[in-house]
Amino acid sequence: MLKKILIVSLSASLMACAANPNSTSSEEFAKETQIDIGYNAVRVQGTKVQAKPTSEAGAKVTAAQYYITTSFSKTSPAESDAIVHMELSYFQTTSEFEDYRVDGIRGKVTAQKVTSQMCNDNCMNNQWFEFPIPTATLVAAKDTGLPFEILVSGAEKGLEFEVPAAYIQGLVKRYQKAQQDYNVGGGEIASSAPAAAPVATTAVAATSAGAITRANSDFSTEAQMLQHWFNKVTPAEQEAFIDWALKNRKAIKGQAKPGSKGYDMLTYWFTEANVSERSEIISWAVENMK
Amino acid sequence: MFKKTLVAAALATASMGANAYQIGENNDFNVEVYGVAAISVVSYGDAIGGDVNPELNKGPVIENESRIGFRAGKAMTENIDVFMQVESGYVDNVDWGHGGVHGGVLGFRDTFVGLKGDWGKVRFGRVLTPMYEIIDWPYANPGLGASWDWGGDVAYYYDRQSNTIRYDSPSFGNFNFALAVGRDDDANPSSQSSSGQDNASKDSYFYGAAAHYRFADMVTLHAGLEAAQDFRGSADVDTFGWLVGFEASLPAGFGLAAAYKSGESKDKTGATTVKSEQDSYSVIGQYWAGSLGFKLGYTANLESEVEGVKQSDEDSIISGQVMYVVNGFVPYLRVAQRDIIDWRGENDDIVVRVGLEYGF
Repeated sequence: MLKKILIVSLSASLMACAANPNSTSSEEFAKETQIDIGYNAVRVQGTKVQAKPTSEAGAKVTAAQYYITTSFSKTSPAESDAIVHMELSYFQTTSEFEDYRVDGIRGKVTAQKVTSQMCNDNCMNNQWFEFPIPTATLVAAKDTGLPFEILVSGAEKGLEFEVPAAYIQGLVKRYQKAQQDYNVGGGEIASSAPAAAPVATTAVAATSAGAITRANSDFSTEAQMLQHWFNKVTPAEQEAFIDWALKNRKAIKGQAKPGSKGYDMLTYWFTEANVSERSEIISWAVENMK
Repeated sequence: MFKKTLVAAALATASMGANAYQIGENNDFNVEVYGVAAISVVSYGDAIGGDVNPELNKGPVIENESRIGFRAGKAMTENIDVFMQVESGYVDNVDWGHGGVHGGVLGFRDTFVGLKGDWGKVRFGRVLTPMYEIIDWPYANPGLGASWDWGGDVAYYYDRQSNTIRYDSPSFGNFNFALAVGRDDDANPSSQSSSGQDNASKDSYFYGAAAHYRFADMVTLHAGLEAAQDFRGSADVDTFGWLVGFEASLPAGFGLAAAYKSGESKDKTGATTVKSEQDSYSVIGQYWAGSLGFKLGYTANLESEVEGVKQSDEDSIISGQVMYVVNGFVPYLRVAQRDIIDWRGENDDIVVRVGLEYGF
């Protein structure tokens, strides 16, 4: 009952606030981000933000807002696309913005509504469109922010914007939190609040009852995830993972061959962890092998 | 198992439309309300009544040009989207041309049903003619309309017009164009509707076109054309007009736009045809420093000629505007010197306007 109320009230407030992105922390962004754990994928929807162009060519912007949704496939979370949904208002010109450019890739935006013109003393065009960014590109920019550009077709310069680093971190943090809740709760969405101590009520959780774990607060999210999944895979998979992890501990040389779901989660979280953590994780894994 | 049904449903509706003003949940036709809030305090000085009717010079007034509208639409087939719009006029305006209907009535401004696809879009109803759209923007801003737009002494183009079918092409690289055909609407005061679409005058037709070409990423050329038979329902009055102009964005935040238009009206009602013609031009410079903008514009109507005889009715306006763009709001201050010679005699004075406008 409480769950339903929480979720309904979250969705009601979803688009009501458009934050000032430059003074918002990643924690605040993570709090405003919505999550939807679906059948095949986990969908993360960031809050709407007001954007100011870092440079303008082709039109003068009066207002710009966007929000980003990403979908992490459960089987191969590293491959997915994020979608930027944008609303743009600018002093009227006769050419609409039709192209986007991000990370050197240029493509056509998809219009969500017919462009409208509103005239008074000043005439404005309003466009609503969306375009994709590979999730890997988005996540790779989580410390620096990701610039993107909106252009008129055929033009070389357009409106430049930047997705703030804190916004991307907010998306990632929300996703990691959902994974935690999902796994710890044994497949149920426990609640959107920080997870209480896990209760082994299902068969899945029961098999890990014999595993040894240190206190959760000592580890980062990646390490916690790795511990959790390591305890769930077969001994053969544990060995295979340690083999792969040793070879890739300094730098990820390539994607691991896909295996069972647990094995894929291990390789995914290992990729997410930073280099200093990886050695610690490998040591821990060797100590805790079945 | 997974209590995801409610979550999925809530997120699905929230994320389907990018617009927060949709009416209702699971809104199949994407019905939305939109509008413009525009308020200003304006002092016309002596520019309304001049010396002829000084009692019309009333001092500062508040003009509320706010209005509201509704849109709805969705895909009909794979390559045809149907969309529509109903827009009211300014809430404090009166449409004297249609029997004194209050301006706030729905249908006063752009009101149409349209089809859109990769092939372009076509609208049926009350829309701007292609040439008038260019006259209005960018060349009538800031505050040049009293001479450049409606201040001419020879009328040869429609503006927002009912009974119109207008096609707008998609972009062909750097080029796009618009075509329109329409009729007048019967301005009979007894019709009581602001769009008067159910009546037209016999033999009254107009044809309009506009083309836009952008090159070097910085310069856009505009051209417009309009011809009418039985202009505005006046039997045997035919008109023709054209416009050429350019807009350039220059480096370091500067911009320049200029246009020249010319038109004629041939009155065949009498024994002989009487031809009246007039030329006008408009030049506007602007500079943006981040969110602060400055515009300076000058427009002039050259003397009109009736059968080649100059009428000494030239008009001109010079106007300067300071504006600020913040979160979709545009506050502005404008000072214009108007020198208009028309049926009220010679009016010149300074018009000052301070206002705020924003769209939602």
